Amino acid sequence: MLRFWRNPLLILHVRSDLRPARAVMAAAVALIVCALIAMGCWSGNPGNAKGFWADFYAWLLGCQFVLLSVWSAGTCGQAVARERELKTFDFLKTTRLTAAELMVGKLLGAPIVAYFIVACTLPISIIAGLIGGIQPVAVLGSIVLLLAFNLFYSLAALLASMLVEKSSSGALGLLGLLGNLLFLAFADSPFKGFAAISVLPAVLSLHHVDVNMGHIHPTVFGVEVPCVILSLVLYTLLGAWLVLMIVRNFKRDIPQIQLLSRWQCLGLVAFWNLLFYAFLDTKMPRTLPSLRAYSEGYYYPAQIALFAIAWNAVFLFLIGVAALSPHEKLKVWWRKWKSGASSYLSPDGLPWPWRVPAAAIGYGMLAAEALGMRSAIPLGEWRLGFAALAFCAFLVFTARDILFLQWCLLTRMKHPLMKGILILILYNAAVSLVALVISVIAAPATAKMMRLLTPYVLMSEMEKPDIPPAFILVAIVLQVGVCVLIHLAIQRRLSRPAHISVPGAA
Amino acid sequence: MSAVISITNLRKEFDDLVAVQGLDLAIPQGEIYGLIGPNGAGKTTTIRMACGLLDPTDGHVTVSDVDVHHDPERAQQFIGYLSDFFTVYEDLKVWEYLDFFAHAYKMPQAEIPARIDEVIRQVELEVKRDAMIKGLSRGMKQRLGIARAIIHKPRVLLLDEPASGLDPKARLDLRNLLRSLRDEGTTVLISSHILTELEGFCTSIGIMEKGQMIRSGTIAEISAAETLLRVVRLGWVGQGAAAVRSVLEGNPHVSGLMVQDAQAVFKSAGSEEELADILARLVAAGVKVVNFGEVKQTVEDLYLKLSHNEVM
Repeated sequence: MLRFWRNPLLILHVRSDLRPARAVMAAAVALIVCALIAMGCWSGNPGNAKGFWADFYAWLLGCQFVLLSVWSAGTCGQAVARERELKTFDFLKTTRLTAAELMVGKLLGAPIVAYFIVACTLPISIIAGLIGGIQPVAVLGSIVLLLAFNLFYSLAALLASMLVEKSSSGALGLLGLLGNLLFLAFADSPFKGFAAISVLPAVLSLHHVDVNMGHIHPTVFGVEVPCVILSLVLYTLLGAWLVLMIVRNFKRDIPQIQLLSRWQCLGLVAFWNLLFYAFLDTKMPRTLPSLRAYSEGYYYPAQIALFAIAWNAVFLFLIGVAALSPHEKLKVWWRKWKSGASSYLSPDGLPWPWRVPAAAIGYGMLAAEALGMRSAIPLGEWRLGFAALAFCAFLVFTARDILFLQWCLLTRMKHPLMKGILILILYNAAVSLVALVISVIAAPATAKMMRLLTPYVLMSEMEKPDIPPAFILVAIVLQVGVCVLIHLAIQRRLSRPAHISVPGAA
Repeated sequence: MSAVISITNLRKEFDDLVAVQGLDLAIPQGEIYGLIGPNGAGKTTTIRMACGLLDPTDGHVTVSDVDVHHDPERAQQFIGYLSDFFTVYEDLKVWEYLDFFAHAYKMPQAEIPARIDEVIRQVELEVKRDAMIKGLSRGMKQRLGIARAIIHKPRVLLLDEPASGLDPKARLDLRNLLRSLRDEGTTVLISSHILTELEGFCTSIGIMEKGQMIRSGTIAEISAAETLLRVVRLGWVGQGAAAVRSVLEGNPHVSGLMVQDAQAVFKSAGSEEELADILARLVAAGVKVVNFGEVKQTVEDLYLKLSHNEVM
């Protein structure tokens, strides 16, 4: 796998996509575009040679980023789905190529034309940068960032392509690219490190561009780390998780895909929580009295705890989805469990029990952070008691949602997961809307009670307690009841005897 | 002889549907084993499990003593697979396509060029060696598909309805190719619901229905097991119908007599000696017999008989 240039799938893409005539055409178009950009930059810097080269370099670099990332996200986002559509994927799966080799072949092979175009223009941009007075380290760093960023998003797009049936869904890869910009929102939060997932702060800081995004100064366990290094480390670490998901599932059909095993899910929760507290700017949390003396931009510990709860709630849901059991595996597990040959906590069983340790990891790390900072911030300010209740509530609410999605997978509906998620979104939107209407026409307490049908009210409770904990306990008990009902529905589905195929039905 | 393909208690469920259940099969080396059954009988599912494309719900498949699902990459070196409808990478040349799969099967680098030429010759695509695949006809692409399946000299060839959409000449070529592969020691498992496609070509057959194997063995073995009643056809000239009825209806071993014009068909539970005796009596009764013989059963007859007419 290390000698990737000998990967048969990569060679196949080179042969089919880069025939000499096509390669010459692509190179010619790339050079013409470079010339046009150069003319544009020249007109903007008459008589200023250094300014021209610096502008030319910046434009070329921008174009290379856009071209490579959009092209790669598009082609990798279609790569597997297209093979499935053409019915050539089965032949790939029945070769001796391992899932990792297939992944590398697709990752580098599908966007080979984009790599070729960038390779053609790279010498020009390097020369332009050096003549334009850009530091060689910045030029080299940009190239490394370009490749790392592109590989990371290509992996994400490839994973998306494995999960969809139609190659037209390759647009998902492009959406992921836009989603990258969302991480910029962390730049103004106590967790600036997450902003480094977006490539923009790293590129800007590398070139010392004097804009806000270029001065993020993220910290890791309180130590300031250059944005470029952090971006590269994050792409490597997050990319490793993507590789794990892809390799585990590359040769599986869509209904058999289970992104992560239950143990891996726990590992992912621990990893994300570790990142959360590693990136927490320890100068930011302040005790309430001192906070009043500071200007804006600081947070009190209960707010940090609130972020931790929200962070874990999202991951409780996401890892629940990633660990849903395929229909067939669940049925086999059910039979074994009924006959006493398998445990209820088996990795092939229902996903909900594995969420308890996941929530415990999240809460445990919050408590550890509070303990670690107890010399600066009293433990009481973290509201750990209420945080425990909130963790329980989110655990139950997300367990309900995951059990519902698992039930959807056992039905005969088409695209069960997507439909299940849409139903959940609809449910949450409907409850919020009804609560909003009730708050206008009835007492606010009634509206709050209504909101207990979704877990979001706990967010406002964390900052500004309004509802007695007993009511939250009632909501938890209510949702446990719903979980039991969905569990019974799943049991009913699993207990149904399989029937024999009817000739001619295929 | 030890089995090259060994299937044990294979079961596959799709949601609430059992596609294959309790399937046991052992195919020795050099066999051409035909899997017969109507659509939905479980043939394709069985073949997809045998080549590792589907994980079985229960049971296991071994090819050359390697478990296909526990050690898939190792098992694939012994397996060549071709499905009914497939496409090929249109933007490649014929030799490039085969070269890709030769490397994908991790053949020794030095052997690949010679093997590509050999396989191209076997499927008679010599003149198209350097042609782009998109310019090939349907039959040529099918032959290229076969070349792909055999490029790594597999011990086992799994073919799922390979003749679908082929013209009669191409079908004949396919048969000849498979026979020559069998002569070289390759074991072939081929599925079809077109029974004449497998006639006179398979050394053994298995009849599948509702996910189960209802009979398996050589055609002669299955015929012998199923034909305790021989079907006999009789022809004569002149007036003889009454005499024929008189002789045959009085024989305790004869049943299902049908007489029409100067011909009759009946079933006999007796031995060959008793058949000879019947013929002697007919001649003695003045019937001018012009033909008298057992009707040979085709694969189709056997299938119709065994599958309770739930067919095609």
